[in-house]
Amino acid sequence: MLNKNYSFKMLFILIALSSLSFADEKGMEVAKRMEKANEGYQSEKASIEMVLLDAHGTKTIRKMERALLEVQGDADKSIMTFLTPNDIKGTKMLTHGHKDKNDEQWLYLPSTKKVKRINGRGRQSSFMGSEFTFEDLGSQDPEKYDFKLLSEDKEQWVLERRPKEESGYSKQIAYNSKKYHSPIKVEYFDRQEKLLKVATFSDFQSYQVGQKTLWRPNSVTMKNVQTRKESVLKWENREVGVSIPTNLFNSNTLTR
Amino acid sequence: MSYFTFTLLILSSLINAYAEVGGEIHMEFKQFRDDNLPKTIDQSFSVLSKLRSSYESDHFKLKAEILSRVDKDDSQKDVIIPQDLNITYQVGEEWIWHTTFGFKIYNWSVMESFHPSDFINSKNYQTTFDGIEKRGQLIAEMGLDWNGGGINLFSILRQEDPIYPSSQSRLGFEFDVPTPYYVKAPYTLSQDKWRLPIWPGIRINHSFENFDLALFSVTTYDRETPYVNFEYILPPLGPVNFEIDPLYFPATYHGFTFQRPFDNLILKAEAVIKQYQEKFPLKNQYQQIFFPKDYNTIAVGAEYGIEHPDAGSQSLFLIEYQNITEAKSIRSKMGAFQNDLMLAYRYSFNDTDGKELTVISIFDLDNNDIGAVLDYTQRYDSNWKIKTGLRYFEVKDTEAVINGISHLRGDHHFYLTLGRYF
Repeated sequence: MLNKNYSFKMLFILIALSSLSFADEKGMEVAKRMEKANEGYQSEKASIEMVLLDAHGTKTIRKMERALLEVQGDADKSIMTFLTPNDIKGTKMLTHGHKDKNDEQWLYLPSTKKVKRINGRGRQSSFMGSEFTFEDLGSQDPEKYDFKLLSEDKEQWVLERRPKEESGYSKQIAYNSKKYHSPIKVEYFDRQEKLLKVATFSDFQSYQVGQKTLWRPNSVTMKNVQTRKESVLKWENREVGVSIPTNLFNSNTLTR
Repeated sequence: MSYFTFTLLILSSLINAYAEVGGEIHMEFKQFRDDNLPKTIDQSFSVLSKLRSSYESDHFKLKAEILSRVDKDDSQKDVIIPQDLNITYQVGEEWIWHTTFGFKIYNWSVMESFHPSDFINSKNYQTTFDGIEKRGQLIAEMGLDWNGGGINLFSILRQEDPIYPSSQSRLGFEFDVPTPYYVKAPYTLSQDKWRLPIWPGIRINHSFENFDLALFSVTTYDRETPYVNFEYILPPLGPVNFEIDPLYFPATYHGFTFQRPFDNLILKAEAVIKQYQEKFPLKNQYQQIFFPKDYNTIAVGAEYGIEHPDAGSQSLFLIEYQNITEAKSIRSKMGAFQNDLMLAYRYSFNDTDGKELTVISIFDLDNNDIGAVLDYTQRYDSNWKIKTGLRYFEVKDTEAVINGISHLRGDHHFYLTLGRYF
């Protein structure tokens, strides 16, 4: 009798453990499926307005332009040109993303006409004083996370993702739309596992690139639940699948 | 204002009519410590303005950037300098051919304080060592860019004189520096900046998997290390008179710049081998052949960043070292930073005001002199910015006027700059 009870317990533990590992694999599978659904955009350019709201509702506006280039087999290249505030107008940040190592970044400063390498690891720093960090805005390649599928229904997958590398977050819970293959909400937890920020994605628009339909959110709101500050990114005049000269993503052309 | 400068202003205005325009105006106030010299200015106020415009089409790009300064008390600080005033034509997709003509500023340096590779543009030595202004050089350039790099060939068509501090300036000498001479041919001097020999320059650069490397070789006039021509006039009775004329010899600069990031660390290096053109000697007043000595300069440095995730801010630690590879007694006259160490720290708040606090210290290891700068900048809103700080230089009085950073002796001051950007 004792042996039978022991066997049932072991069987139960094994099933539970296998379910756990299945959930991790399923989580990565969902993340990869979403990544694949968003591939093929080739390139993208847009004007971006960022609205910063402090705890009292005081508003500050930042404007920039961004171009993206899809790279086969690696993370994307991007170039961001800052338009406001006026003292940094013309500053450019070039990023060559990588899946298996640190991103490479260069900064062009028009005041000194100098191109300098910057630390691709400054990801936890605030982006232009907003509630977005460079980590939030950088590539979210599945290879950089461990995933766990928390739940699934007809409309969404809920994934928990834990960064593999050093991060400002212990974990993130992403509510991913099956229609848009994109998060519609992400909860960010600090290193004490307390809820820190919530990002909501809205105003989705579809773009046709060849035979493929791609969805992109034109608005992302990041709320810091601890400080009550908020930042909103809004994309305007977004074009996907357009022809962008590849030399735009060359550090050599930053000075011209 | 010369006709030449007037023409440049008209050209830039034409570009402005069709182009994207921006710029900045700064009101600069400085309070110096009283040096008990009636001739030097203890308090200065100047207005610096920069007008910037650009126009771009599929193949053409026009750029114009002009800097001007007006000083309340020292008229020799008044300048109008075209920094960029050029047109570029480019074709190609993956491989881009481009050609540029006009005034251009080059900045190849990868360092923060020491810049051996920064020799092409003449400098305005009335400005600070950590923010020195440069004069655009009239150049013709052509090049080819590929994925991750490029090659440029160019020639400087007109030499620009450096701008030296006046006798009223804390950075100046007891006399006003006259117009320099260029060694145009063997034993031949000229002040005509147009009709000087034109030599080629080349630079190749590429971003490899983990590092950036650039190699260059340029022949141009050395305007960084002027030699001084003393002409002694000995009247039968009375004091000795002399005239001091800066002389610029042509030199070939071979060198490189290098940067490599390692996680939070970036390593940097740049070096220059300077070889004076032997075909351009001079004779001194005793009819002896005079020719400058070749020398090399190397600078190495590193920067290390630390994030403060709770605050969203960042600290940056910098260290740099520069050495002119000659004996101490020889190199003391060859440049301001002949055996110097720089340590710096910058705290970036990364907030909406863009607040930054920077501390820089420079140690002249040959002469045990020290310079220190404390700087704070903050944005008031999208258009206004404040910059304030202190500069201090501990230089022994026993040293000659030109020896390492000795020319910064007495340049201690507090500064406040209010900038409007548009």
